[in-house]
Amino acid sequence: MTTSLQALPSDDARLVAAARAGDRDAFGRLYERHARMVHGILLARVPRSDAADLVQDVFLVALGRLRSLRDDGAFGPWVAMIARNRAVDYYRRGRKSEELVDNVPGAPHPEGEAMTVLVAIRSLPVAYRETLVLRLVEGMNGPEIAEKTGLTPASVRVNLHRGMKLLREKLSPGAAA
Amino acid sequence: MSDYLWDGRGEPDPEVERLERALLPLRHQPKRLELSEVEPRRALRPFGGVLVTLAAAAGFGVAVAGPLLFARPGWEV
Repeated sequence: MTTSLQALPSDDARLVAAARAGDRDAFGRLYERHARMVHGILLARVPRSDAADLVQDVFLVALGRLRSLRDDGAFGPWVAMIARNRAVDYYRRGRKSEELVDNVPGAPHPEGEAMTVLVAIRSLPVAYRETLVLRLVEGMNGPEIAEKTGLTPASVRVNLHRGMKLLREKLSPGAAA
Repeated sequence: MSDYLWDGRGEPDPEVERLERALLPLRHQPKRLELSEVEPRRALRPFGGVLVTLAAAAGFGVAVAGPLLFARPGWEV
C-alpha cells in the first residue's frame, strides 16, 4: 500500500540550485517529490476541497522565495513550514468552509468513511494529526515522514503511536485498550 | 515489523491496513504544477526595469550636461 518516492536531501540540494538558476524542470521535480507531503500537511488543517489548490499556492510561494532558502538540502522542511503558514493564512483571511460529510441513510457516499476518519484525525492534537495524515492518507512511511518534514525519527514514532491510540478511542469509544 | 506503524512491510496490521484503505480516496492526486501564474520577482515589479533605465539615462545626462552647465567660460571678453 505504501508508495515511496525517496528523495535524498543531496538530490534536493542539486534541484534547488538548478531551480534557483532558472531551471523550471528542476522545480517541477521538487514539486513531484514533495507535493504529497504538502498536501498531507494542508489536509490535516483545511477543508479537503481547498487543499489541492493550496498545494499549488504553496509551491508558487516557494518558487518566489527560493533565494531565501539557506540550506538547499532542507527544501522539504522549508516547504512544509510554508504549507503550515499557508494554512494559518487560510483561516486568517476568513476562508472557512464547512466540510460536508454525507450521512444520508441508504445512500452512502463513496468517501463517507474516509471523511469520518479524517474528521476524527483532525480532532487530535496538531502534531499527531499531521503525522497520521502523512502516514495513513498519503501513504508515507515513518523514515520518509521524518526526512521530508525535518521531524526526528523519534518524534515521528511517538506521534504515530500516540496518535493511533487517540484515534482508536475517537473511532471506537470505550473499545480502546 | 517497523518501529513506526505498519507500513506495508512484514505482517500486516489489520487496523492500519483498513484505515489506509478507507482514506485512500483522500490521497494527493498528482497534478501538473502551473508555473505560468508567477513569473519570479521581475513580474511582481513590472516597472522595475523601466525605472532602472530612466535612472541610468538621468545619470548619463547629468554626467554629460553637468560640465557644460556649470563650467565657467574659458575666455575673457
